[in-house]
Amino acid sequence: MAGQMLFVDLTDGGIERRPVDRELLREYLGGRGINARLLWDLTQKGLDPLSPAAPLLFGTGALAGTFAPNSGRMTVTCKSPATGLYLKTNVGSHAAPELRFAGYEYLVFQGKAPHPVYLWIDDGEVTLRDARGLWGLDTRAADRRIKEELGDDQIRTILIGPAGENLVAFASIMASIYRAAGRGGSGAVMGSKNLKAIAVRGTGEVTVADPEGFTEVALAARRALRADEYCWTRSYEFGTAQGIIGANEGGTLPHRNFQDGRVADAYKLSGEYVSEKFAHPEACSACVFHCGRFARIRSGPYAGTYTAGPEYETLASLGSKCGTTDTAGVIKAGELCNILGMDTISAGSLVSFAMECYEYGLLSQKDANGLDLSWGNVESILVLLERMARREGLGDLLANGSRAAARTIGRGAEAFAVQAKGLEQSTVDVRGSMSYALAFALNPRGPDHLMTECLAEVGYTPEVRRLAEDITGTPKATDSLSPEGKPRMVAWHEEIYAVTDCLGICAFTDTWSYTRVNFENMAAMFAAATGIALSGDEARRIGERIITLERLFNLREGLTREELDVLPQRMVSEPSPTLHRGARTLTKEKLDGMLREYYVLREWDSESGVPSRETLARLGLDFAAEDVMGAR
Amino acid sequence: MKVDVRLLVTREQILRGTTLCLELPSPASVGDVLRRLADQDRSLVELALVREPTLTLRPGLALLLNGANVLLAPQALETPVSEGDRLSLIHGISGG
Repeated sequence: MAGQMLFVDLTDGGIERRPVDRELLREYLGGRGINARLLWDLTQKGLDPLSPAAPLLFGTGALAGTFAPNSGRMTVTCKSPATGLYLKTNVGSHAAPELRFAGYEYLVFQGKAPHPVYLWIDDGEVTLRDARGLWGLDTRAADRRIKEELGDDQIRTILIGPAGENLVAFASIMASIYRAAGRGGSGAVMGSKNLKAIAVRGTGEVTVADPEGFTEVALAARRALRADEYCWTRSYEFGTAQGIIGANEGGTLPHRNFQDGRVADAYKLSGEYVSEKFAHPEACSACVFHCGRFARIRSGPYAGTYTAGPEYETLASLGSKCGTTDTAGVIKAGELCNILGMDTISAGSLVSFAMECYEYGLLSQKDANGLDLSWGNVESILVLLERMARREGLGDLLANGSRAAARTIGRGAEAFAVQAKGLEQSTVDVRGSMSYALAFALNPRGPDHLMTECLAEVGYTPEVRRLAEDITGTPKATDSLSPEGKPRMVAWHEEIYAVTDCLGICAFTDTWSYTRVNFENMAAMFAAATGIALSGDEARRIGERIITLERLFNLREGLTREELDVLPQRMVSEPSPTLHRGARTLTKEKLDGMLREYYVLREWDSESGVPSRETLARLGLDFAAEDVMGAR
Repeated sequence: MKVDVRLLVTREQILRGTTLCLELPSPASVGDVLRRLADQDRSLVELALVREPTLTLRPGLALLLNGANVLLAPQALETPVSEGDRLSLIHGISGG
C-alpha cells in the first residue's frame, strides 16, 4: 500500500508528493475519512467554495485497485457551492483503481490556474497541460480529445463539462465520461479552478501487507455476495431501476415535483422495461453486482443517443418528477446531463420546479424564453437542460439551484423548491419512511439517500428484518411510519456507509446484501491490506468519528441545528395524496422528536445538537473543539 | 367486496400491468386474498408463495396494502382488507 498524496497548487503550478500518513490512515481509514480530515484542516470558516483557496480533494478508497468486492469507488470532497456546507460525493467507474496503479491515493487541488489546464498523471510523471482547446467541450468530446492528444485510448479521465465551467450549482465531476460525482456542485469547484480534467494512466500494481490473508477474506466476501443469488441477479438484470415499481406501488415515486407519488404507466421507467428495450449491464471495477447500465436508442426521435444509465434516480427525477414516462426522452435527458456535466437529480429537480412555477403562473412562457413548460413536455426539458448548463435565459436563473431561484422568483415559489440547505432532495418521498426522513434531515450535504440509505426499514427478507430488530431493539424498526427505533437505525447505517466509503467499496454492497459485507469483514480486509490491525467495533467507531467530524464542519460555519437538521418544506407541511390515503405521515414535530433521540444517542447536546467536549475527546476530535465552540 | 390485486413480480407481469379484481366475502384478510390467488393460479404459488408451514411470500417479495408493507405489520396476513383496497405483490428491494 505504497500510495502517495499529490498536492497541486494550480496558481503557481507547484506539484508536491507526500506519503500517506499511517496515523491518518489508522484514524480515518482512507477515502472519505481522510478527505474529511484534510478538508477540515485546509478550510476556514466562511471560505467561499469557489475561491482559489478552497480545496478540492479526491480520495481513492483504501481497497481500490484490489479485488475486494465492489471496491472501485472514489470520494470527492469540498465545500459545496450549492449549500455552502460540507460536501462529499462518491463515484465509481475505473478511475480510482487507475490512480492507485499510477501510485496515488489522494489528489489535493488548491489555487486557480491562470488559464484552463488538465492534470496528466502518467505513472510517476505528473504535469499540468494547457486545456484551452478543451474548454467548452462536453465530457465526451473532451475525453476523446485528451486521448488523441496523449496517444493512448486506455487513459482514464475525470472531467467536467460546460456546466462545471459555468459554475452551475449542481455541476458534477464525471469519471470516464458518464459516472458522476454528482451531488452538491463539485464540478463547479473544479471549474472555478480552471481545471478541466485529470487524465490518468497507471501501469503499476497495488500491493497488500498480507497477500494470503487478504485473498482469503476478500474472496470469502465476494463468494458471500455471489451466494445472495436473489440480490445480484436482480441487480445484474435490472439495475437500480428495479426499485421503480416498488416505489410506485408504495406511492413514493415522485410525480410532478412530489405533488403526489404514483404514475399510471410506471412500467415504462422500470428497470425491467429499460433493460428489455434499451440497456445492458455495465460494471465498475471489481464489482460483483453489475447494477450499472449502458443505454442506446436505435430508433425514433432520439436515435443515436448513447449513455451510461439510466439509474433509478435519473428515471424518477427527469421522468416522473417532470411528469413524463417517455423512456427514450428520459434517457436522452440523462445523456445530456452526463455530457454537459450536471447532476441528474438536481437537474430534474430544477426542471420540475420550473414546471410547477409555470403551472401556478409564477413563470410564463415569456419568462421561459418561449418554452412551453407544461408537465411532461420532453422537448422543453431537453432545451432547458442545455440552457441551464450554458446559463442562457431562464437556465441562468435555474443554474443557481432551486433555493436561490425561488428567492428570485418570489411570490411563494419557495414552496415548490423541494430542497433543504440548498440541495435538491433525491427521488425518495420521505413522507413514506421515517428512517429516510431522519437520515435526509441529518445528512450534512442535504437531503439525499447516498450518505445513509436505511433499506433495512423495508425489511425485504426475514434476515434483513432480524437485522433491523437487532440494530434497533424493537419490532417497530420495520414500521415505516413509526418513529420508534429510527434514530438507532439511522446511526448504524451512517456508520457502515462511512466505513464503506473509506474503503472505496460501493455503498450498495451494505444495503442490497445486508450482513454479507459487514464491519467485521471490512475491518479484516483493511487490516490485511494495510497491515494496520482493526476490529469491526473499531471500524464502526471510526465511522462515528467521521460522521461527527462532518457535522463539526457545518457547525464551524455557525449554523444551528434548526438550520442544519431540516427537510424540504413540502415534506413536513403537505401530505402526499398517494401515501396512506392522504394521511399526514410526517410533521416537523415528529421529525424533531426523532432528532432529539438521535442527538442523545450520539452523545450530542439534546437541544443544540452540538457534540460535547467529552464526546469529541472520546472520538479523538479534540482538535476541533475550539473552532466549533467558538463559532456558537 | 372487491379488492384490486396488482401482480408485479415477473418482467412479463410488470410490462403487461397485471391487475386482478377479486371479489371476496366480507370480512376478509390479506391472507384470504392470497389463498384465493393461490387457488386461482398455481403458477403464482410457484413464483411467489410458500404454502408450508404457513402461507407466506417468498423471500425478497413484498406485499403492499394501499402502499404499506403488510408483511411487516404485527398481524401480517391477518390484516383486514376493505372494499376498494389495492394489494400489490412486488419485489422488495429499492434502488439507489
